[in-house]
Formats: sequence, C-alpha cells, structure tokens
Amino acid sequence: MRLIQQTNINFVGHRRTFFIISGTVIILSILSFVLHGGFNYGVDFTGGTLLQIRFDKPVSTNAVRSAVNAIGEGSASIQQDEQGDFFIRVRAKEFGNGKEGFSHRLGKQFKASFAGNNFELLREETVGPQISKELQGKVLLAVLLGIVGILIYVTIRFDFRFGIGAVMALIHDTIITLGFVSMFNKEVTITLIAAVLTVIGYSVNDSIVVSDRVREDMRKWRKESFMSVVNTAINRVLNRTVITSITTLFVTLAFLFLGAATVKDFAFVLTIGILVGTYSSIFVVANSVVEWETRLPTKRRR
Amino acid sequence: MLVVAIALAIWSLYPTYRLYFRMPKYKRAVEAKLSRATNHDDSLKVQLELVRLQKETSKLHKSSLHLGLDLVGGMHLVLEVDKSKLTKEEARDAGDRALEVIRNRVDQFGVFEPIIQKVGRDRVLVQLPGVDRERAKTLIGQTAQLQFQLVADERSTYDALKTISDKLEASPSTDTTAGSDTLKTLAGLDTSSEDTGWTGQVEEEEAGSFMGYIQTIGGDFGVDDADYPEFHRLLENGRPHWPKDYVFLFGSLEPFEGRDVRRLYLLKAVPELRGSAIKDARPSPYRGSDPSLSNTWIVSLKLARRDAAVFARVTGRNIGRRLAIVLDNIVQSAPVIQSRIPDGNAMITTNEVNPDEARDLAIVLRSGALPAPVNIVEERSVGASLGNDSIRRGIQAGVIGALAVLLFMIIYYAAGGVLADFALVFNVFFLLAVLAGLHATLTLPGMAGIALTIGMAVDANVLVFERIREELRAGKTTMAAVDTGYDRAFVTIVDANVTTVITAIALYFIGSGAVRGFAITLITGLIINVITAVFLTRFIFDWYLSRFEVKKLRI
Repeated sequence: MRLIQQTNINFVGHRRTFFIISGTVIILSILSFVLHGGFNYGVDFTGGTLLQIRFDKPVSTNAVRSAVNAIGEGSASIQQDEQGDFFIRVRAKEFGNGKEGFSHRLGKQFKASFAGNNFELLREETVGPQISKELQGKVLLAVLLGIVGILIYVTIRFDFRFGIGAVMALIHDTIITLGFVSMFNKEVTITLIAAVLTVIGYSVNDSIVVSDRVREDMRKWRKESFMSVVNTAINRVLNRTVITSITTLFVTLAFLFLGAATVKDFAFVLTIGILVGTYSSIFVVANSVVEWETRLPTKRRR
Repeated sequence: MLVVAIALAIWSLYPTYRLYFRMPKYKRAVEAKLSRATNHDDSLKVQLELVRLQKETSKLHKSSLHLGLDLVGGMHLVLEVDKSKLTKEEARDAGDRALEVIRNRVDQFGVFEPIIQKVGRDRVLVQLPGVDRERAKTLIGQTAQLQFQLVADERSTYDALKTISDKLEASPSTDTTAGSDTLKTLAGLDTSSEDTGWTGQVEEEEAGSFMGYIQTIGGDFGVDDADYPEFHRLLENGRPHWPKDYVFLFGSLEPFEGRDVRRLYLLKAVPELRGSAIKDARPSPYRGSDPSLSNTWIVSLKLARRDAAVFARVTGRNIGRRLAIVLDNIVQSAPVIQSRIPDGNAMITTNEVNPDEARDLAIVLRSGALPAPVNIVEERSVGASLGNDSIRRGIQAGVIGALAVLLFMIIYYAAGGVLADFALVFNVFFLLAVLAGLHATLTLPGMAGIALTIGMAVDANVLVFERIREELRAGKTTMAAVDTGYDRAFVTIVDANVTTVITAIALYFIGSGAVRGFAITLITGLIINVITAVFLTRFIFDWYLSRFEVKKLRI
C-alpha cells in the first residue's frame, strides 16, 4: 500500500508561502500568550496547593465554589473534568488564610456543606515558593542544555547551516506548541514541560532525517543545483515523515482520549508538537537553509 | 545471541511478573483460607504461610520494576530544616540531624520500601508508598525526643517476657482493638494493623509462639523483622502484665547474620535524663589506655553543667548496668556504665574500627539536644484509588494505541509490516526487561514514554522500508535493495535517535520523580529501538530472503 505516490512537489519554490504561514501562526501564538497575560502556570511554578477531589454523588461547581469561599479562599480556581473530579487550586500568593491546614479546613467545610455525600481526596500537591523558584531555574537550564546539546551534535554531524536549520525548526515548533498551550489555557506543569522537551527531541529527529537525505543526495548529484537537490530530498522522505507521524499520533491520540487526567495535557502537547514538527520538517528546515544559501552563497561545497 | 537476549529478558522480568500478577492471587487465596480456618491449628498454619508470603514479596520487590507513587498511591515529601533559630555552628549539620530523626521515625511506620534521602545541604526527601497522609505528616513534622533510660538486666527481662507469654496463653482472646489503641496513644502510630496490609487480618490469638519469636542477638533479646508486627501486637496485648514502672521498647532495624532484626529492651519508664541535657557529642578515635580499644572509635559526650550532677549520681549508682539512649521511643544504643562520671564528660565506646557507628550515634545525640525543626516545602500525595485508575486507563490507552500502530504497519507494509510488528513487540518486551533490571520506577509519564517509544520504534523500520522500496524502484535486486536500504537508513536512524536521547538527558536533569521516570524510559527505549530495528529485523530479513529465495518482495 502507498499513501503518497512518488511526488515531485516544488516545496522549495513555494518557500515564501510557507514562511508566511509559519510566521502568521507564530505571531498568533505570541499574541495568545500576551492576551492571556502569560501562561496559566500550575503550582509547580507558582507554589501553592492543588487538590483533586471526587464526590460520590454529583455536585455543582457553584456549590463547591461557595464551600471554598466559606473558608476564605475566594481566589481559588475550581475546575471539573469530564469524570466529575474537582480540581481546586490556590496559588501561594493567593492564600487568604495561609496554606497551613488548607486541605484539612476544606475537608471539614465539605463535610458540613455536602452532608450525606461522601468525597475522597484523590491527590494533593503542595509546593513551597522556594521549590517552585528552583524548578523554574531547572526547567530553563534543561531546555537550554537540550538545545545546546542538539546544536553541538548537529554541527558535528552536518553543516553548521543544517544545525541552524534544525534549531530554527525547533524554535518554530516550540513557540507554536506553547502557543497552543496558551490558546487552550492548559496548565503549565512539570509534566507539560517534559512533553514540550519531548516535542523538541521529535522535531529535531524529523529535521535530521531530511538533512541526512540532503547531505547524501548532495554527494550523488553534484551537478544539480542546491535548490533542486533539496527539493528532491524532501520529496523522497515525505512518505517516511508522514507515516512516522501517523503511527506516533495513534499513540498520543489514544492517551489524549483515554488517558488519566494528568496524562491528557501531556498527550495534548505531544499531539500538537508532532503535527507542527512534521510540518516544519517538510516545509521549514531545508527551506531556511535554502533561503540562507541563496542570500549568502557558500563558495565551495564539500 | 538473540536467544540469550530473550532468556536474559525473561529472567529479568520474572520477579516483576510474580510480584504483580502471581502474588496478589496467592495472597488472596491465603487470606481466604484464613477466613475459613476454624480451629487453632489451621489458623496457625495459615499465619505461617502469610509470613512466608510477606518475606517472598519483599524479596521479589528488590528485583522488580517498581511502580511510582503516582500509580500505587502514597506520599512524597520534601522537608527543609528551619535554620532561622539556629546559630551558625548549630546549623552546620542540621541537615544530617534531621535526616537521622526522620529516618528513625519512618522506620517506625513499617512502610514498605520507603525512600529517605538528603537532597542538597538541608533538605530531606521522603517517599512513602501507601501511607495515610495526615498521620505521616504529623509524625514527621514533630520535634525529636531524646531520653536516657536505664535497662533492666537480662534475667528480669526474660522473666517479664515469660510472664507475658504465660498470661497470654492463659487468656488467649484478649481484645485486639484495645491493644492497638494503646499502641496508638503510646507512640502516635500503629505499625501492627494497617501498614503491612495483612498482619492486621490475623484475628486469632497466637500466644503459643510468643516466646518462639524471641531470639538472642549479641547478648540482647530481639525478633526478626518479619515477625516484628505480629510480635509487637502480642507484646502490646500483654501490656497489663508488664512489670510495674518498666516499658518494653525496640531497637532500630539492624542486620544480623544476614537477616534484619530488631532488639528488644526492658527499660525503666521514667527517663534519667532528657536530650536537652546534652551540650555536645562528637565522634573521635579512642586515645585512652585500654589496649583492647586501640584503633576503635568513640563518641565523646559533653553534658550541660546543671545536668552533670544528675548524671554523676545516676552513673555512680548504676555501675555495670546499661543506660539506653532512646530517640523517639526507639533504642539507638545501650552502652554499659563503666564508672561514675563526675564532670559531665562521658565517653561511649563502640568497639568498632569503622567510624560510621560513632558518627551516627553522635548525630542522634545531637539531634536530641538540638532539635532541627523541619518545614514541609513540597508535598505530593496520591490516593491509591486514583493510582489504580491511572494504571487502568494508562494500560488501556497504551494497548489501543499500540494495536492501532501494529495494524497500520501490517496494512501498509504487508510482510514487512509483520516483521516490523515483531520487532516492536520485542522492543517493548526488552524495554520492560531492562527497566526491571535497573530497578527503575515506572511512573504515569513513564507509561506514556513506553507508548511513545512504540510510535518512534516504528520510525526506524519505516525509514528502512521506504528506502528499500526506493531501491527496488530504482531497479535493484531484492537482496541488493535490502542491503542498501539498511546501510543507508542506519546512519539516519542513529543520528535521529542520538538527538532525541540528548533532549531526554536534559529532561532527566529537571529531576522531579515522575519526569525522571519518563526520561529513563525514553532513553532506554530509544537505545533498544536502534538495536532491534537495525539488527533484529535485518537478521530476520536476511534469513527470510536466503531461505525462500524471494524473487519479489512485498513491502
């Protein structure tokens, strides 16, 4: 079976169009980030407490809200997932009565407000402000470490230009993925950052496959123009790029629709990241190298 | 080689399989037997079986793939020493003191596989699978209690135990619930019923074996750790028959002749001195005149001036007896009083050439003297029901995702797809085996990581197959196309996986438990990927081609 027959699409020729598409989505992503006033950070990064509570009998969000207000934590955010579990989150700075015994006080209040309805505290996460500050630093370090590591490896194995191409694609994918995180107002937790880093790995993986083919074909067809070699290479790996994305998407989609609450957002980021990563490996990586090559031609090619 | 690898993988996975699939069934069966047991002898037999089961489980656990707290439920705490009220000198080893105190307390819980680690200079990480949060928090957050109590001699300890044994035998059905209530109020915890899971189900009295549990450990009485919960319960039931003004306390867990044991002490209930009496305690090499102690380590103890007089009186009156150092109701050490100590400068000999014991004891003594208050700076707890829910949904999603991939590959690549699927199944199998071999912890993101490697494992095969198709189109023979396909794709596969491993390593450094689990699964998965995709499938491909002289490859 073949999904895509032998193609000869002029990807390189239309590179400006793709640059405009990418540019627009990036601008939209940044816009969403600005309009939302930054990310919706979880307690990992803001400090504070997150409780996940399940009631035996259904309870309305308003009823939970008034119970939370009753203990003086009006700034708490309350969400309900499709299973009916409530997620109550209070940021460190927003505690009305201090974080000490928050879950205890809330438990007491719930017992009073919802008499005759049993509930269970499924999960509690409390992160102190010091820890959250450290986590921010660690995450930043991990992301930088990852990007620098990739840049070094790609530079050793390929041309520096492909290193730049791969990193451009990586930044492109990361900004757009984070843009979707912001558009859908997903909570930014450590797990979500792990997903973003995985997307970075996946994005580079895809870029490498394209770059590898360009490098190989360049040796074979020395007489062809750089542009046409790149274009043929993209067409040749197109099938692989699409199929790998499909199989990986099968898995991430399964987790997105069937996974537990904590894995859902993780799967969401991966799904978006794979889609964007696939797009960028076809339309952005090689094209940005071509663009560079056209403007600043290298004299001698290896 | 393949056979060896498979055998190794099975060997590595077998304990995990037994722990999670066989043991629960076995346990249920034994428990059912226990509830059916009508007479005394039957229930005794079943109880022995339970003890064996417990030992077996903890042995298996040491060589299995662990499940993270987010899957089994439990709590993760990071405690930080509050140094704001300590002087610079006092603050220096506050982290070590807090660690010692916390370890001592967690030890009392009887938690299965707790993790207690010092993180950085003054933080302690505690992970307690399947523990009641409120109880754990209260217990761990308390300030340390250090006391010095006189030890009863061997004869009276034995007599007291014998009395309890006789009384228990005379009245076999003491009220068990009353017993565990006393226990709770005594130490603020209840090791006997909830934590170990099944010992609490023992309803029948088993007084006959009370003395049977007791063994001698280097001159003291003690019990095997596996017998500890049951023995402890019996001992508490016999509390009304304890000698007046005396209490039984256990020592901390220690290795003895290849087993874990706890010593048992009979102590005077009223302490002679409290921890606040200690001014300082330091480990140092022995410099005295006794030749039998040369090269050994001691702890030199300095008492506050006002307590030195009390100490002088206590030591003067009790030469030859033992004075136990008790931290949070656990006996840490019970040195013999050699002479009257008039000036508050005591020396505790350890008879050890190794300084570890002296150092630990000094920390214990200082932690009683200088409580290092701790604050909880991070707390994550997951209820067991949520954990079960996560496992169930994780497996469901993983299986459906994997099946979709397997099916797609067969439809798309026909024979090649079957081969790729075969490699995929091996891949996951090897991945689990390696993780079990590393005793890695499987977390919720880790499960997603395994699923993700499935998606990416296919990538290597897709690269190869697409390349083979291309070569075939270019007019090469089947054999040549397969060869070139593998050779060309190999470079790409390695390049692509190395970069992903680089990001996974970066992820590992973020360091939080669940994410680390994900990073480890991903790294291991990718390495195995390359191996199975490049070597395993190629091996099969070559074999298939040469065996059947394939003219036309359907791929």
